[in-house]
Order: sequence, then C-alpha cells, then structure tokens
Amino acid sequence: MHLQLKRLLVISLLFLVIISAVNSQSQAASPKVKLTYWWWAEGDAPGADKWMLETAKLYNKLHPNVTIEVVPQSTDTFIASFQTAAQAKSGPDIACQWATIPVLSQAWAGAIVPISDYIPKTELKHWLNLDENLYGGKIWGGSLYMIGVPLVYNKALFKKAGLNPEKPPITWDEFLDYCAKLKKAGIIPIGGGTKGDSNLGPWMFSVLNMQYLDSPNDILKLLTGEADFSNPKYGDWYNKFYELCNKGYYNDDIASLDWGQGVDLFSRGKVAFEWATDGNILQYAKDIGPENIGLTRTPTIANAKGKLKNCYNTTQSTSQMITSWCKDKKVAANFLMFMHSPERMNAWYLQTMTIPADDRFNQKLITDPIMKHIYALNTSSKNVWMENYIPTQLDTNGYRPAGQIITSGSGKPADVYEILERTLKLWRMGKPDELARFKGWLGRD
Amino acid sequence: MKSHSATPYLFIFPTMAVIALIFAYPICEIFRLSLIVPGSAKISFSNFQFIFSDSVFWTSLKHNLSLLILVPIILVLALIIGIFLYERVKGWLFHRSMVFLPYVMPIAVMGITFSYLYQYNGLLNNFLRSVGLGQFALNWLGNQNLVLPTIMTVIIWQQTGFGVILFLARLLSLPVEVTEAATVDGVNWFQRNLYIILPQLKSIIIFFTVNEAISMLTWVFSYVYVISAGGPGFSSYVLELYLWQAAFSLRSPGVASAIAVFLLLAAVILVILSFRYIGREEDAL
Repeated sequence: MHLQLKRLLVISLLFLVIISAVNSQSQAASPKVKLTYWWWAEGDAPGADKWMLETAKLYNKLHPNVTIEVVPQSTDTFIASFQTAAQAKSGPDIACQWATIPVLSQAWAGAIVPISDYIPKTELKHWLNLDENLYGGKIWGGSLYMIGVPLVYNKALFKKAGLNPEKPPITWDEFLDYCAKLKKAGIIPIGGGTKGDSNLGPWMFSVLNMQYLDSPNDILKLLTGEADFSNPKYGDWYNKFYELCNKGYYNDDIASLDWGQGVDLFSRGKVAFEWATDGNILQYAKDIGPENIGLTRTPTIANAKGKLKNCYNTTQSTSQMITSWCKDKKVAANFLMFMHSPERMNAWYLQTMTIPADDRFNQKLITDPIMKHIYALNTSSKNVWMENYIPTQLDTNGYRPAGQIITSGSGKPADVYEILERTLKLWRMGKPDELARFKGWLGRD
Repeated sequence: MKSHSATPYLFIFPTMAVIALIFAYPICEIFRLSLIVPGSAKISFSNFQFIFSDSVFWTSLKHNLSLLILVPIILVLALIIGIFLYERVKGWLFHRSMVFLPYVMPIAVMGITFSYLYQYNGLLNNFLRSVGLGQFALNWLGNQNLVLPTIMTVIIWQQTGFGVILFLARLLSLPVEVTEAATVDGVNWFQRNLYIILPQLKSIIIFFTVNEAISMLTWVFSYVYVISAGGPGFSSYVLELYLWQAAFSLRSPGVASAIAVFLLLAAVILVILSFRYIGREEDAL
C-alpha cells in the first residue's frame, strides 16, 4: 500500500513535470504581446468605447498571450497627439485617424504601414469604403463603421406649414420653395451654427460642390492653381449657400452659435431642416419622436452637371491604422480582422446603432424604420465625402471661415473666393511636399 | 588680493542652468525653426516672407494694435476705481473684492459665459428686447464689425480688477502726511489727486501700462479663442491665434515660429522702452 502510494506520487510528479514542460514550450512559441490602441469613435457612435473594451477582452480570451490596451482619445487632441507620437516613433501600435487626408498624411510621413500588406484580400473585400484610404495601390487605413450626412426634416413642422411630410424636396428649387413656405408659416427653415470650429462651411462644400464634379480627383486642378473658384465647377455652389442665408432661411443667430448649439435647434423642434450625421438623427428621434423624423438626400442643383451629382456622402469617418513602429504588425492586423468578424460587427450595430462597414454584417438586425432608411441611403449609390479630399489647411482656414462670412452676412461668394484662393496660395507655398503628394495621389487616373 | 571670482558663479549655476533650459533653449529653437525652409534644411527668411505676404497676418496685427486702445481705458478706469476705494467709500472692502473677482476667474469660464450672454438670441439681447430696446439687440458675435469691440468689453471687465488692486496697494503705502498737509492747505479733491496722488503713482502706472500693452499684443489668445475663435471669418483674429493655427492646426512649425519671433521682438521692444523710461525717471529723482 505504501509502495503503491509512492508509485502514485512519482507518476503524479512526472505528469506534472511533463505538463509544465509542454506549457512552457507553448508559452515560448507564443510570447506575450501587448498592443496599445489609440481609439476614437464614441463621438460618432455612442457606445463605441464599451464595444471596443469588450472586443479587446474577447480577443484576449481567444489569444491569452495578447493584451490590447485601449486608450480612448479626445476629439480636440486626436490629430495632434498622433502627430507627436509619430514624430517620436512611439506610442500606439494601432490608432484611429479621420479617413483619407489625415490617414494618407501619416502614410506619406512614414508613420503607418499599409493594412493591405498584412490583411488578405479575401478579408478586405468585405470591408466597405476602403477606397478612401487608397494610395499607391495599397490600403493604408481600415474602415469600421459608416456615417452619412442626410438632410433631416421635422415632419410635424412640415404639416404645420401645409407641406406633405412624406414628400421631401428632391431638387434645389423645390427646397427653396419649401423653405419659403416654412418661413411664411413662422418656422425657421434650416438650423445651424458656424461659430468657432464649427464644420458647417466644409460640410456645405462636401454636400453641394460634389454635385458639380465628375470625380473627387477634379479637386486637384483647384489645388494646383490650374483652376480657381471663379470657375463655376468649384465656386457656383457658394451662390446656392449664399441664397439660403440671404433669404433668411437659416436661424438668424447662426453666426453666434457653435456647432453643437446649431444641432440642438433641431432637437428642440425649432427648425424644419438640418444637415446632420446618422448619429445625430438617432438622438433627434429620441428628442422629438421618431414619427416626426424625415430623411432625404441633399436636393440636386439643376445647373450642376457633375457625375457625382447623384452620389451619396457616406464616409468611414475614422480609419484604423497600424503604426510603422508597431513590433507585432501581424498581431495588430489579426486584431483588426477580429473586430470585423460577423459576430463583432453585429455587436457593433446593436451597441452603437451605427452601420458597420462590412458586408457580412447581418442586415436583418436593422428593424428600426429610421435605421432602415439610413442604411438604404448609405448603400444606395456610390459614396463620396469631399472634405476627405482636400488639405487640412483649405478645410480649416478656407471653407470654415468662408462659411462664417457667408452665414454672418459679412460677405458674398466673390469675397470668400478671395479667402479660399489666399488659403490655397499659402498652402502651395508652405507645403510644397504635400502638394506633390496630392498630385501623385489625385492625379493617378 | 586673493580672488574668489568662481565661487558666486558656482552658486548661481543651478539657477542659470534651469533658466537656460526653460527659457533660452526654447527661444533659440524658435529662432532656428523660423529660419528653416519647408521641405529642406536650408536657412532662409521664407517663413517671414510667408507671413508678411499673408493678409490674415496683417489683419491679426491690426486687431492686436486696435486692442492697445484698451490700455488707456483700463488704466483710467482702474485709477478712478482705485482712488474711490482709497477714499474708503462705504463698503469699500466689499467693492474691492467684487472688482478683483473677475481677474481671478478663469478666462475659459468667463469667455463661455460671455459668449452665451452675447449670442444674438442670448441673455443681453433678450433683455434689451424685453425692455423695448430691440433696436440695440445686435449680432454681437456674429457681425464682423462688432465682434472685436464685444471681446474688448470682456477684456476691460477682467483686466480692470488687476489695475485696481495694483493701484490700491500703492495708494495704501503712500505717506498720509503729504495729503493731509495738502488738505489743510485747502486743496480740493480733484487737485489732491491730480497733483499729489498721481505723481506718486507714476512708476506703478508705467509698469501697468507696459504690462497691459504687452498683454494686448501677446496675451489675448484665450479671450478670442473662447469667445469667437477668431470669427466670423478672420474678423477677430489676433496674432496668437494665427500662431496657434499655424502650429497646431496647419502643422507649420516654421511659420508659427516666425510669428513667435515677431511677437517676442515686439514684447522685448516694449520692455526695453519701459525700462529706459523708468530708468530716466529714477535718475531724475
């Protein structure tokens, strides 16, 4: 009995030694990996932070040797923080940036690597809107979700003005007619705010100028100076915008309200129309009731003849990038693929109510009529968000102040052309390398 | 005569090293960056040419210079209030705290509060409309001609408190015998302040004037950024905002450094002028 016990003890010890040896071998085969992810999405899609933490935890369960540290980023310092990290070549292994120019700028600076080098084509074919980050035949940032900017309208206010709430304006002339009727009924037709760093000016450029262009690449002539804003292709849309302001169709305090305060006007049922993001619309539905929410595309301008006229404006908003200094790029890419797994994409939708940028997402999950409408708009045609295709300088120091000048009644389209030309001139002088990159990128066709 | 000349330098070395690290290095770096051409390592003045050819730079400078008009306004207001408080008007301790309160309030909080107050449909205009003065309900922040004067009112409101405290502190340290003797001699209130009090405040007035002038040139970013962010368009842009845009929004460190050099030189000139003036006054005494 005693001998048997000894034998059992020896066998158990041997077993333990073998197990620990196997375990240490497997640990040696998969060394511990820690990836830092600088994450931003909550501003676009409330619930995104929670989803991301959950995703990192699930990934860690599947791959116990990999830990993803999620570091949420502030909107204000989103770009600057990454630039500082890029200069020091340290910080995140995976990071978010706004799609297209902010992503490509980092690609040109050597701060990121193409995700298409690490993620197979068979996987990437399911990811939507990847063209937004295409340069040199490679994809530099991955999409995760889609954000569109429809023209939202208040059905209750339509009824009050004697308009058919099921028949939104399709053409610009109809839009003007609707605005006139709303104003006559004592309703503020359109809401907005342009004070401070409001993006209303660049947004109007995105939704209106697009209709005059055949391709986003058309903007290159403007950037190089071959064309200027007096060319109707680039400047006529300002006449339309000016018309809205000059006729008093915007709220009279537009120039003294910031972006958020402008958005708030629709939430409070004060204005009939507003250009808003998909995320805003869900909030509006909560505030004024889903039965009062109507959605439509930006009305089409009769004299705009561009091929993009009937395109919609959905963008991936932020893109996911792998940094050039990341030591475990394959693991980073694997995590991005995990984020795109159908289960995670479905969870994304359910937790954020924002459309995932993946065709494997289960569309049957969309049961809300407003979300169905948003999804239909986002997938009904080719998507172009023009703001993605211009230098930051033109966006911030050109279209933004130009929008303020138009909405405050401080100037006419001809006055803002001067400002925009000045901004581009300064950009060409100050950033010759960026201009060369733009030529290489937008001049590729 | 044994010399110990190295010993004092040894003692001040740690302080000098810290000063060099905190002040001298960044200043040298700003000068270096301002002379670097974008896209190459060549030294040139292209960043300066760049800003001098930009109309927004001149607009911003014009706005900074316009803000200098606030210096005499704040000075006179602070002097008057300071003298009244020195005269110990009823409740002067309470009034002193109230006048100083805006100065200790964070500019961000104040700016946001005023931006709500000055909105076209904000508190001020709603009040004006409610009392039948609707014609004075103007677009304070949305009109390009009004936005800078509107910001000026906020600056006056805040900066006056600093002047009052400064002048009051000096007034309270003045010998009372002179003013008492003048009162016995029959001078009136106006004569006493103009000929006896004010000359004794001269050095502090000069200090305050120079300090405020430098503030108007290089210290107004927070007001503008929080209240109007430089808009509408560029109608309330100031040089600091222009610098900030160049550095953090447009990522042009060379241009931003060139503006910083310009501002630094302007401030240095003002300081030298003031020191020379104060020195001359002290020599005359």
